[in-house]
Amino acid sequence: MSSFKRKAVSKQPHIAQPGTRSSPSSAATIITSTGIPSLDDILGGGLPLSCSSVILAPDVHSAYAELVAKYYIAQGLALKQRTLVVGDSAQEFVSECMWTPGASGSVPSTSGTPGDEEEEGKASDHDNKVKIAWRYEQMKKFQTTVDSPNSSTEEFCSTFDLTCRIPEQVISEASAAQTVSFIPVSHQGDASPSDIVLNQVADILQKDRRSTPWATRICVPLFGSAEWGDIVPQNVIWFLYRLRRLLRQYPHSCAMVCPASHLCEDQWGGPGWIQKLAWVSDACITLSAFGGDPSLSAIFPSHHGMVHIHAQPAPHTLLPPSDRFSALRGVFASASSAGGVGENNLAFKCMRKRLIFETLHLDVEGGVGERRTTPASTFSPMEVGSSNNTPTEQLPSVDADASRLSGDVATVEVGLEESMAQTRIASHAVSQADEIAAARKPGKAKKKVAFRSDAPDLYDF
Amino acid sequence: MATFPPPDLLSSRQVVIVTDQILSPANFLLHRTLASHFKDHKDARCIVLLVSESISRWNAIASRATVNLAALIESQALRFLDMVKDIQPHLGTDDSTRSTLIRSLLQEQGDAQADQPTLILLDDISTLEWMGYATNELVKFLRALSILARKGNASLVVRHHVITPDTPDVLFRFLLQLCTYHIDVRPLSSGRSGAVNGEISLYRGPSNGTAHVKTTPRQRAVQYRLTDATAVYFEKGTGQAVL
Repeated sequence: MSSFKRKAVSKQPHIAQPGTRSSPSSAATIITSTGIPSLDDILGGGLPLSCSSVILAPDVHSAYAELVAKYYIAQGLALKQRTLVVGDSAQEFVSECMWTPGASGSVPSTSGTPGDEEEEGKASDHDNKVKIAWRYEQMKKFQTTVDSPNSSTEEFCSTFDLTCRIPEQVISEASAAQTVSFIPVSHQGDASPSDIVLNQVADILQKDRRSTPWATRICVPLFGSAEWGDIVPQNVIWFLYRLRRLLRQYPHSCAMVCPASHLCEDQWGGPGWIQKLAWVSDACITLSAFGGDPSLSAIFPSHHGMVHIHAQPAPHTLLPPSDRFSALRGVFASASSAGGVGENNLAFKCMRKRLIFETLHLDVEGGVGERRTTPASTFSPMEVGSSNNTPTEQLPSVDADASRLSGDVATVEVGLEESMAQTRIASHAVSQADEIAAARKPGKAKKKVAFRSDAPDLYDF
Repeated sequence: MATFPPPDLLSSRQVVIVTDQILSPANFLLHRTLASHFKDHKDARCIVLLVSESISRWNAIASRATVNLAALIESQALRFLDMVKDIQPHLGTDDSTRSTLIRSLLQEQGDAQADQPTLILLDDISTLEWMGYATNELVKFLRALSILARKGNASLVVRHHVITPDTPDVLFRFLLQLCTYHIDVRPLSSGRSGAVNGEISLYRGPSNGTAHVKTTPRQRAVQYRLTDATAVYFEKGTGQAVL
């Protein structure tokens, strides 16, 4: 008899639920999609059941956290998962969600105009035709984000289109089937609204567990806004802490909380406030949009904000699955390549049809969003030095041109007085410069960057 | 290959505080402490005071470290006590949860045999303060807990989250006075890395009388890298990414 025994792998029974799958790191961890493939990647494949996530958006001029929450709700409705939405205007909030483009009854808000994706597709087709060298053909195409879900992953993560709105019929059917529930923020007696809401959520989860353990997603958009009354930092911590306890108690559920923008800064909760929020939640991500700082949007014209990751969910392991499996963060890739470099900088952008999270790169030219495959409108200084250029093509450097001309003239007019030669050379040079300037006039006017006012300056006497 | 913590660190009557930051959570140290306590001592006992970590996570990680928590709970060698009730504390006041907890702990200590190595593990004290418990009450509770541990020849491990490293808060300053050893888990100052998750230093506390475990100052901090179930320790500058 062999002394070696095959170790029995104890697999936890995974009841197949719509829209869930096992995490790549642990079979015990069941994940579900947030509706945004790139955010799923950042979280290590998806948001694990029994975990809470907090999306912070401190910028008061934009509502990207609510947009993420709408994706989360729309994904729940698309998968027919149990969805609980908390808030006095929860029904209205759900009716503003996006939907899949091909679905019957989805309402496109605009039609006929080509979207960003079509333009991007054309640009990529154009780029594909450009051959650089045969040896690079096998190289993987440079990507800044993860792929969109294809038909095989459609049952896990749907493809939503921001130009389509959720049909009324879907919401009414979901309400009738009790797939979606709206929990208002009520004030009764001495109890705080957060306790009342959490008690209601606990009742629903308890009831669901008795019947069918559906995967349940809880969404709290605009937590801490005016309808929640006067809340202090301790209330926020308590709400998030108790919500997480509740999720641990009912491990078939997960939650996303989007605090109101004024709660998302250290000024409100004191020093270390964001870290406190991260400690009492499983996943904590800040979407700091550029709305409040125009200089940042000038520096990063193709993005709408930066992504900061504070905490990552790890319900059954010490190492968060995101560290190993997130392609966008690239932490594990840096470890395996022995480079020891840190994680990628991440940013997000909201295009006409979708919101994506991607790695942040400066463009080759230093941040100018210029399409490099189109014919250049200006010529490089290298071409100016070539001998067979026509005068109209001779572009920028007048001084260089003049010196070349002066060299030619000097060889012709040998023997004249030095001073005369110099004046004639100068006059030739000036006339040539005038010709070049005249030839350049019909060209494209140079863009003016600096601010200029026609009014005289205060000290301009 | 370095090891951490030193073997005699959690011998009897030691009060050890573990401080960590959000980029380098010290959960792995708590899980390792529990697992090694039961592996090193045959008749060991442990009481885990739960605040942040869930029992399911304790179970999942212990099973990967080949420690069967279910059997330990059944044999009364391990107990999980919940520190928080489902009602939010009134701000700045105390409730009777922890006084009853102390009483039940005293009862258990009386039941236990004196030679049984006992570990009391409080997984998070900071969250209690953040959710509204008065700092003074928490200080009293910690003092009572440490006295209880010393009387019962037990060792006590308390974790505290540092959120403002430059300005230590009141609770942290008290814990520093109370402890015999202080384990500080910090992230790398250069940010997150896949090769190194953070570094650990070990200091002696002012309450340390006779115990002499070799300390690890910050200049020679032990670095670590997390795996799914455990952590790999190595000396500074000897990681796989460096060599």
